[in-house]
This record gives sequence, structure tokens and C-alpha cells, in this order.
Amino acid sequence: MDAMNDVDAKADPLNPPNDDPAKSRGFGRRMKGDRGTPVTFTFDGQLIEAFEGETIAAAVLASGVRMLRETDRRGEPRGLFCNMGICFDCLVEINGATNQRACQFSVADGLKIKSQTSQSMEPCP
Amino acid sequence: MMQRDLVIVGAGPAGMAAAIAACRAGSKVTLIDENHAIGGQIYRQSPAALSGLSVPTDTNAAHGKRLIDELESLKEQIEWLPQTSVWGYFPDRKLAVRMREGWQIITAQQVILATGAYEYVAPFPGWTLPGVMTPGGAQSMLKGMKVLPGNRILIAGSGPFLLVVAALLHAAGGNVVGVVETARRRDALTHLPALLSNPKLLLQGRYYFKQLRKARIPLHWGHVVTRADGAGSLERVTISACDSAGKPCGNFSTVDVDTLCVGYGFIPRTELTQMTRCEMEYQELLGGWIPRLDQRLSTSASGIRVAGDGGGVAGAMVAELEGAVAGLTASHALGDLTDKAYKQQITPLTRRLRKSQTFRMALDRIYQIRPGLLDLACPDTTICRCEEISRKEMEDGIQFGGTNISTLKVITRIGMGPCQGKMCWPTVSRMIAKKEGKSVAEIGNLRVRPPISPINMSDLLNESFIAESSESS
Ligand SMILES: Cc1cc2nc3c(=O)[nH]c(=O)nc-3n(C[C@H](O)[C@H](O)[C@H](O)COP(=O)(O)OP(=O)(O)OC[C@H]3O[C@@H](n4cnc5c(N)ncnc54)[C@H](O)[C@@H]3O)c2cc1C
Ligand code: FES
Repeated sequence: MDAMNDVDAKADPLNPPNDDPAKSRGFGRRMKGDRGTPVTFTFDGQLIEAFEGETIAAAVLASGVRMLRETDRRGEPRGLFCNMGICFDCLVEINGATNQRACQFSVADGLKIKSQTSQSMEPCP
Repeated sequence: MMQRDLVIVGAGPAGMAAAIAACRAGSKVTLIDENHAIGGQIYRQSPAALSGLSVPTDTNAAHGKRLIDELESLKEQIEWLPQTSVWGYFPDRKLAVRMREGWQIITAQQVILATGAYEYVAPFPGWTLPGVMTPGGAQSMLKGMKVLPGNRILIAGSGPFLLVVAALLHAAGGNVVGVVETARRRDALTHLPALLSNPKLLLQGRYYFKQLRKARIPLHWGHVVTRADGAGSLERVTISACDSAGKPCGNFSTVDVDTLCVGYGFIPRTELTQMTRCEMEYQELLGGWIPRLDQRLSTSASGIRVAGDGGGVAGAMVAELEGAVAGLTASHALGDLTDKAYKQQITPLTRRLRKSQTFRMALDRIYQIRPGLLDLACPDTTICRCEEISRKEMEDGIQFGGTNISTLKVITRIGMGPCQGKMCWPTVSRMIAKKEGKSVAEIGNLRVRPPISPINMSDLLNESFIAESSESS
């Protein structure tokens, strides 16, 4: 069963030279193509351009931001984890409503999204 | 209150197949999913606004498209409720649903729960850092949102699904630096004879190994991710060789990545099933707590059937077969299908289901959740992500007498956050079992209470809700 073989491990297979350092700084990347209708919203006051149909999580990630909130007790940074509405890690404040899942909520023009910090966070419902 | 004949919750392969089978048998079908489109996890579709963009697909896409098209062709006859979450179950098949507008109680004569599964991640230092996510989460970011979730990506955990995600992210332009698989190559080879029982699926596996090789993505059998580090978000992952128990055994190395996709397999979503009070059992290799089902997928609760991964993780092909069996059986129970027609249609399906067992069980053994993974967490590693309870706090809780769910919950708040224990309980129950020298089954399962997904409290407090829920109690 050669199909089960490892790929030959060359010198340091896990750390190949980084071909494009600039590229490695952006995290999420939209696939190329026509995305349809643009919308804008703010995330912590920053204007973010997105497209209709995208979730807040996708749009924020594509803008290069990965930390969505800071936890209540230990002040840990958190971001997207399950992307299917199960883990409740991606909680943000949307137009004043706290503890909304960014991966389940679609973007819309003019939304005001805020990241929750250990100070701003209310107990979860 | 809405009265319906057959309500199917979940429009993945299991729910779709159930809807098709029951609709063709002449039953009135209501199909519900919290997603905006049919497809479930594996055949996830993009929102209409993004559907014009093409992204790389996997080998199952063509099959999924056929299934979706078949259901679409029946849409006139089916009541399809997208973006609708079932957040509660009340006696006598009353389902509480939150729709795009408001909420409803739907009373059904027959119910099929096809709610699928979610991914299990064993806690390790740094697993809460932004940039660490599940492989399925990364896949759906690409498939659904057409956004590549990272640049330099490491895929880790266990199971053939890792290969699928690695190939997909690579094809989309991601720099996938490796796949770290807990199982050792010899574990896979031991089970090769059983895997040969399904040449088609084995070839599919081979296809993905080849894809990885072509892309020069190294596959590290017998390795685990031991920690993730970074200031504010992920920058670096440490991996190590592991023994057969999944315990790190040295040979540590670090790799700079911005994204780590880590998952150790799937856990059935059983909140609704549990609320029907049907008999449940613990089956480690099928993902944990599952309903006890007969051959026709009926639970011990009257009129409730469970199909697909929600009744035990077995993959998309089995989910589809089970969906068809459950759909036909529900139609038969409704009197829409004669005994003869039912028997004729069901026999080949149950035969195929039986045949699929050997392959599946071999996969389950190769990629089982290994006990050593529990020790990846250090004393200060967060175990309960919602309530931020560390391993040490959890162990102190157990020491203090929290050796069962309810006591541990009260002492530590573990499992009391918004995910209702879905992320931590599979770990916590294993840890209690280990400490107490008991089986995980003996530790028991978390209790679920409605609402299982967030609902607007003001919706609940309006008068019609109070009227309807008192009818339902
Ligand atoms: C994120 C993810 C990605 C996956 N990708 C693959 C893959 O690429 N290839 C593969 O072979 N396997 C994949 N799997 C495994 C997958 O679960 C099965 O292969 C297959 O999709 C199972 O089909 P199913 O019909 O049982 O469940 P699913 O396909 O999971 O469908 C369940 C559906 O039920 C809905 N649902 C659940 N609860 C409720 C509720 N309370 N109210 C309303 N709707 C509800 C969900 O929205 C979902 O659409 C994936 C699993 C996950 C979790
Ligand atoms: S990322 Fe898990 S709920 Fe949004």
C-alpha cells in the first residue's frame, strides 16, 4: 500500500522557507471572483468592507482580524473556532446586543459590531 | 400551533434522503434546518449571494449535487423551513422552533431527528488562541463563505477528514505545511483487510493520500500537537511523536503557522434526542452518547427516529442510507406506504447498511480518541471554554466530591456556559472516569434543557407563547 506512505521528509519539512513574508501577514483571504453586492459595517469603529451573504466572522477574518473578543475571567483572546454555531467562542456585540455568534450572523450595511472585553461582557444568557 | 404529519430536523444527507424517501412514498413532509440551504455539513451550499463564486471541491461534491437536485425537484411537495432552529422538544412530539420571524410550536405525528455531529477537540495549551480552529470550521469557511481561513496552515488531529480538509485548503491556495495524525501508520495497516471490504471508499482514501503527496504536504503519522503559542493569536505550534495511547513521547519540533485546524473526530448532536427521553447508550467508537436504535432507526420514544451522524457517527454514505430507512419507516407508520411496498423498498437498504459496518468499524478503531490525549492539557489549560475553567480547577472540583455531573457543575461551573457542555463534557467525563476508575458510561451524560440554541427572551414572554406552551406541558 504505497498510498499509505509518508511524503519523503526533506531537511525540515515543517519549516520551508517563507516565500512571501508579506502574504503571510494577512490571515483570511477571499477567493477571487465576483462577490456581488458590497456592504460596509464597523468593527470596533473600524470601517470594514464586506459582501452580502458573508457572515460577520467571515468578513472580519477576511479583513485580517482574528481576535473577536477577550474573555471575562482570564482575559484570553478568542476568535472563530467551530464556525458552526456550537462553541460560542465567536461572541460579539451587534448593534448593542451582546453575546451574538459572529459565525451565525450575516453582515448588513451599517451594522455596528463591537468586540467584547472582560469589562464589557455581561453574563451569557 | 402547527400540526404536521412528518417533521424532519436537519437537511444533511440523512435528512435529505429521509425527505426524498417519505415524499416519494406519498407523505407530507416538513423539513427544517437552521442553515439557509439544504446540504448539511458535507454538502454545504453557499448563500445565494456568494454562489456564483467557484472554489475547489472534494470528491463527494458530484454525489451531493445529485442528492440536492433530487430534493429540489420535490420542493413543491415539501414544506421547507430554512433558517429555522428547533430549540426545544416537549412531550408528544411538540417541537419548539425559532423561525426567521418569531417562533412556533409544531406538533408532529412522526419525527426524524437528523441533526448530525460536531467536532471533538482534546484540550491542549493554547487551544483557545484565535487562529486555532476545527478542520470542519475551516472547510465551511471556504465552502460556504469562499474565504480561505489562513495562510500557513497546519492540520492536526485524527481521521480521514483531515486529509480532505488539507487537500481542499491547498487547492484553494493555502500553504498547508503538514498533516499531523495521532494514529500510527501500523494502526492503519492492521485494519487494512477490513478496509478492503469497501474498495470504493478505500480508493477515495487513496486519492487523498495521493493528492497530499502531489502537493508535497507531509503526513506525520503517530504525532500530536502538544501546544499552540502566540501573542494575541496563533504564531507557533509544537508537535511531538506519540505512542499508541496518543501520549507525546519526545521528538518535539515547532512550526510557524498562522492557522491550526485541529479535530479528533465527531460527536453526535443529541440534544433534541435526549429531550425526547428515549433510551440512550454510550458507544465510544460511535462518538459517545447515542440513542438506542432498532434496525429501522426507531428510538424507544414513540414516533421518534434518528438518522445519520446524530445517531452514531458513521459518515455521509451511511447517513444517507439511514435517512432513507427512517423516511420509509415513518411513511409506513403514517399509513402512506403499504406493508408490501415498505418491505420491498426497505430490504435492499438495510442490507447495504449492514454491509457498510465492517469498513466503518475499522476506521473507527484506527482513528479512535486515544486516552493519552487527555494529558495534553496542563494544570492551567482551559478545559471549559465558556466558563474558563482550567484543568486544575476541574480536578480540584472532582477532589471536592464533584464526581458526577451535577455536583461538578455546582462546584466549578463547568458545562454551565452557553455551549451547554458540548465542547468540554466529552473531555471532562473521560477525565472523571479515569480519576474514579470508572467507565465513561457510568459517569453519565449532561442534561439538556431548552432552549438548546439562543432565543429571544421577549419572543418567549409574549402571550401566545405562554398559551401554547401551557398546552404543550
Ligand atoms: C463542520 C463539519 C464538516 C464536515 N465535512 C465533511 C466532509 O467534507 N466530508 C465528510 O465525509 N464528512 C464531513 N463531515 C462529517 C459529516 O457530519 C457527515 O459526513 C455527514 O454530513 C453527516 O450527515 P448528517 O445528515 O447526519 O448530518 P449533517 O450533514 O451534519 O446535517 C445535520 C443538519 O442538521 C441541522 N440541525 C442540527 N440541529 C438542528 C436544530 N436543532 N434545528 C435545526 N437544524 C438543526 C444542521 O444545521 C445540519 O444542517 C463534517 C462534519 C462537520 C461537523
Ligand atoms: S465559532 Fe463556534 S459558535 Fe461561532
